[in-house]
Amino acid sequence: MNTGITIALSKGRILQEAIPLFAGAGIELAEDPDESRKLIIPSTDPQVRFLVIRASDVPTYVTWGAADVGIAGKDVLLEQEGLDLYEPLDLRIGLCRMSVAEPAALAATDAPQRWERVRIATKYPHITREYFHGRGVQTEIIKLYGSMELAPLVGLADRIVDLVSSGRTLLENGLVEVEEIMPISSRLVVNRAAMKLKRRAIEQLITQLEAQVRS
Amino acid sequence: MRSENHPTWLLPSGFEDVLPARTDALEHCRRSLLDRYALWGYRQVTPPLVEHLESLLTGSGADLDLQTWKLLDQDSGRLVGLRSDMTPQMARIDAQTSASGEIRRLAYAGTVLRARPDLLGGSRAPFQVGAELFGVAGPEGDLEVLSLMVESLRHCQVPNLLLDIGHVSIPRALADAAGLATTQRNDLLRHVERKAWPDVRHWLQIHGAGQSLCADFDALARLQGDHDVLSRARQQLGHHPAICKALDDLHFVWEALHLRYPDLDIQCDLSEIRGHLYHTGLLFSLFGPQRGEALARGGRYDDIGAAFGRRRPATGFSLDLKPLLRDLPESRRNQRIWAPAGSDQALWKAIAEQRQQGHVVAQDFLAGELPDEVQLKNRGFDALLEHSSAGWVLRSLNAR
Repeated sequence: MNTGITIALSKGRILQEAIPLFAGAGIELAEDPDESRKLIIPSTDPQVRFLVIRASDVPTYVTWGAADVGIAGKDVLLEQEGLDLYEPLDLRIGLCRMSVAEPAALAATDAPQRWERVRIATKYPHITREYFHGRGVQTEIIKLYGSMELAPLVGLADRIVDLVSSGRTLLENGLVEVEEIMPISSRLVVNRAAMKLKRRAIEQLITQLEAQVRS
Repeated sequence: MRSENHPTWLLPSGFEDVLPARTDALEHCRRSLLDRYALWGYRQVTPPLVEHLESLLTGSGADLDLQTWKLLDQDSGRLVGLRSDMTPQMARIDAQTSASGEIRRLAYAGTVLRARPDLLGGSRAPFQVGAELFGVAGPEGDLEVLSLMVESLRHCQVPNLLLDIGHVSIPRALADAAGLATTQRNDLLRHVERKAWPDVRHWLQIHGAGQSLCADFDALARLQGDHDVLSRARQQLGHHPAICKALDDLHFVWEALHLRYPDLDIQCDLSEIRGHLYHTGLLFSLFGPQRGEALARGGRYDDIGAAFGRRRPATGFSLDLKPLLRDLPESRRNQRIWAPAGSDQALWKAIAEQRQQGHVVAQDFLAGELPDEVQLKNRGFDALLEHSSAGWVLRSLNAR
């Protein structure tokens, strides 16, 4: 039986912040993923290899067992329906928040508690709908794939729902954050069968990463 | 989305034709499993594909609601559902037709339909085979069903099986200790189901759970592994009486299974509660290598029949045959024989004789020269009937 572990993660901020956690657990990537064009990257531990894929594909690879373990933002996990995964560890990386933002001029007179119907541009239609429906607010959702900040400036939507980290992009585009929907961080996700079939190796990985997160 | 360019014969997503080679294997497996269940006293029943919605969803909770395809019965004006799981049908049949106190063993095999696949992009028409035992409240009943589940997959030649066992009462007893309403308790159990321990901790914090309960959940998170998990659980969580009882059951089935199947890999996972909305006791799943999901699954569901008028202890398991077949080597049980065209009575008799012996004979329709033997082999034939001085004789295609 194959006992090695395949870990799926995405390039960019999550990868950069995850590398030190894995290094602390004694696992180093054999190549620099920013330099390499390889999609499968071996590690210094012959039993561990990494798949470098798009962030929103990580849960899919892990659900189907194409990867045993993955690192995915809570935003990605909440946005995709039909996932069947374990989420045993909060890695405290990729920290940011999911927020509602609107143009400063609107915010000056706006009262979120009186919202009845809102027109939202977002990359996260599912999270947005759940949030506003939970508050009893009707929503018209415009799904975009990027540069959400532009939508209220050109009249496509009156507000946006997006990830906010430093808030600089909002500020530079004249938007202000009016409500925080939830804090976001990246989770370690594990395939259901792998958790049983490769229990020892995965338990060890979780314990080591947990120690890194705590330190 | 419908495109004008799509051919009309494309099947809806999640559906497939099972072509001859796989159908042979499916049918062979289906029959041999049902024969095996019959040897254990499990008699096959054939419930309908369609039932009134209330009866399909009663007792099984919201779990099956979104998965069940709904139609309007124009005869009665009532909503009907296409079965998405045959277990509730077995519970209904048992509640309606068994005498009280009677032990009832039922087996079934058939297609179930899912409005949504279990996995993104997965099948919406699993071929479910299973067995259910009614009227036995103790773990002896679970043991019988577990043994049959293990033997089913061994029979399908799945190597290196791993059995995972748990007990719904363990996480549920801890959730009950938080002293909350059912909906809140189910929210907490949904986090446990995903082993989302950070969310469990956060939930306990905002609901003001005490230190000792938080510690119990932290302990639960680590109770996964070999037999020693049970003794660790007794030390750490033994102060909950419901948990002690559940550990006794787990211990009993573990010991017995270990004796029956010494080479079977068995694990305990005390926080595993998949399907907790309708299960009430022991839970079990079998895993095989190279597969991202369980191959067979089952558990105890004592209260489900109450909705049909009778409260009966119940336990059982089911599996989807289709994915299992993907891993099976194509099995060829019968010799396939080619026969030339012609209405010669002697040939007709020779063909009948071969068929009598259980061989497959396909007679050609085009008279003329003998087809190329390589071609016949490629068409799946193993032998041919040819005329010789001794009459019609069988010649193997491997001979030359």
